[in-house]
Amino acid sequence: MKIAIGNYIETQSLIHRLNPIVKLVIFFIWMIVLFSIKQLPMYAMVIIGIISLIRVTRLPIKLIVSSAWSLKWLVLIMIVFNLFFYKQGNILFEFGFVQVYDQGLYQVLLLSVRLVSVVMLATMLTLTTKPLDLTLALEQLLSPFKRFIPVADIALMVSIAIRFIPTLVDETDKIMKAQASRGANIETGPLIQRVKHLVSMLIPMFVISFKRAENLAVAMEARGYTDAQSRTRLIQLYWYKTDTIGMIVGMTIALIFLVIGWNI
Amino acid sequence: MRQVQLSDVGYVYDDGYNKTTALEGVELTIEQGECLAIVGHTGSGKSTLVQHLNALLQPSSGIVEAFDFTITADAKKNRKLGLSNLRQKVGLVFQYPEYQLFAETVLEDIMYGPLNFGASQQEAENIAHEMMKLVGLPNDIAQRYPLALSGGQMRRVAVAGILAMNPDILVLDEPTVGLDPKGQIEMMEFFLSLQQKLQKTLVIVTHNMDVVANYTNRMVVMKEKQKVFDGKPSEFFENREQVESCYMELPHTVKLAQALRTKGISIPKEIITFEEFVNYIKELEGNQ
Repeated sequence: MKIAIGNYIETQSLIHRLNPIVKLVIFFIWMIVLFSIKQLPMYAMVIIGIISLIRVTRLPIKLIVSSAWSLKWLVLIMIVFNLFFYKQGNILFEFGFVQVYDQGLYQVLLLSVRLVSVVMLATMLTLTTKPLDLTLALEQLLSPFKRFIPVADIALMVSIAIRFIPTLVDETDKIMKAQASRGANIETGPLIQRVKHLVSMLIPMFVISFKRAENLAVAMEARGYTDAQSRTRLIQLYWYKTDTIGMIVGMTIALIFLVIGWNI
Repeated sequence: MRQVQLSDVGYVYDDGYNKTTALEGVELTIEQGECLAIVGHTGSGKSTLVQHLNALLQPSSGIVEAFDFTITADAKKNRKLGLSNLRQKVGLVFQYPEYQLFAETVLEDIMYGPLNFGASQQEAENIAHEMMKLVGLPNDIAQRYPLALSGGQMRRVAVAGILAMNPDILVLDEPTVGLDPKGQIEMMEFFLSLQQKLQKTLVIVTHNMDVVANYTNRMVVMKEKQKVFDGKPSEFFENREQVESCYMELPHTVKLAQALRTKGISIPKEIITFEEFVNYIKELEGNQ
């Protein structure tokens, strides 16, 4: 079974070894910059930048392109809506009752390329960073707000949830096969039948998940777990010189794009 | 009568990024009424193998012939075969089958299989009552919630759910795991009675060599994706090096026989079941 979340791929690139805090912060800054760019030609530069970044991460380019390709329906819907409802600027051409305005076309292209860039960057972030490292980074970034929200508990919950995705996928596979052996078929047949068969899979899944959660809670308490706030960490995030350099490079790139964007 | 034949079957798990070979060139024939054990260490491919028997998995190469179905590596052709009918003929009882229980009452859960394979409500209900009797469940739990039963009873309900489809072959994945010793013996005796009284074919996947020695007359050993032995259990246990190279243990009877041999009491190598063993020792005593 294919799952997109937590699909970390090790290629031992420079980006992989970067502190997840750096990657997370740079990702957010770049997102803001991306949404502030309003000139289509600038996005040619953005795309070139993303492609060179993929080269640095040594990830298969096909993988990242396919994640962007999965947006095709969303982009299509956006294009259709824009062409129908955006009525500013000059009419480029018209067929029947549909009039295509130049500004409308421009806007929708801008939006699509923006969306595709963000998704490609996000894919790169999750492919180069282990999900647990990401939650760790998020926890450290949010630690100033410890007083108001239980940051550590939330981080623990997220990391447990991520940890159990593959386990539950396996478990689902097993239950589906067990019920298929009793004649359950969710692919063909009348809709009501299929829903009934789906229930025969869902109920055992709930039962198993609750059982697992209970066992995990008992196991954690048996090993002295009380709360996440007062705990120290076995794995610490260390800040190396390369992380400082990475941060500076990332920020500089963001700044260059901003400055060029203002001046055009 | 030949029920299932696997010819040069290979299987590759493919999750889009990685390809893992799980089976390689497996040949296997299963005859009606036999009791066959499939053993092998974890990851040797035995679970993958048994899932081919009722087409939960379809081969990546080679051919699986089961009853009237010929299953090849061609997924498009396989879809036209109506493979769910094969699942009625080959009942697969998974490890910890109690996890597949979902209905509100024991009776309804057992009726699920027959209803899926075209029985009427009344027929299914009759079958379910019959199956409860067969697996030794008291009639008064028919309306109880299955998940509130004890572990042993839950397993019986799950097994009854498979038997209710009246399969010709019963495939059991670790049927005794998680049961107490008495429950283990009862469960195995029950399955054996199905084979003897109803001529069901039994395929048992297990790590328990005592189960193999006491209940089966044919043994298939899997090692690193391939079949490395197919024959009488006593022949396999004779060759100690082979047993160890497959990461397997000897059954208690064979271990005891070996220990006795070092003390000068010779025990024939064909003797591997508890019953034979005890009888032989009694005979020895009588002769002295």
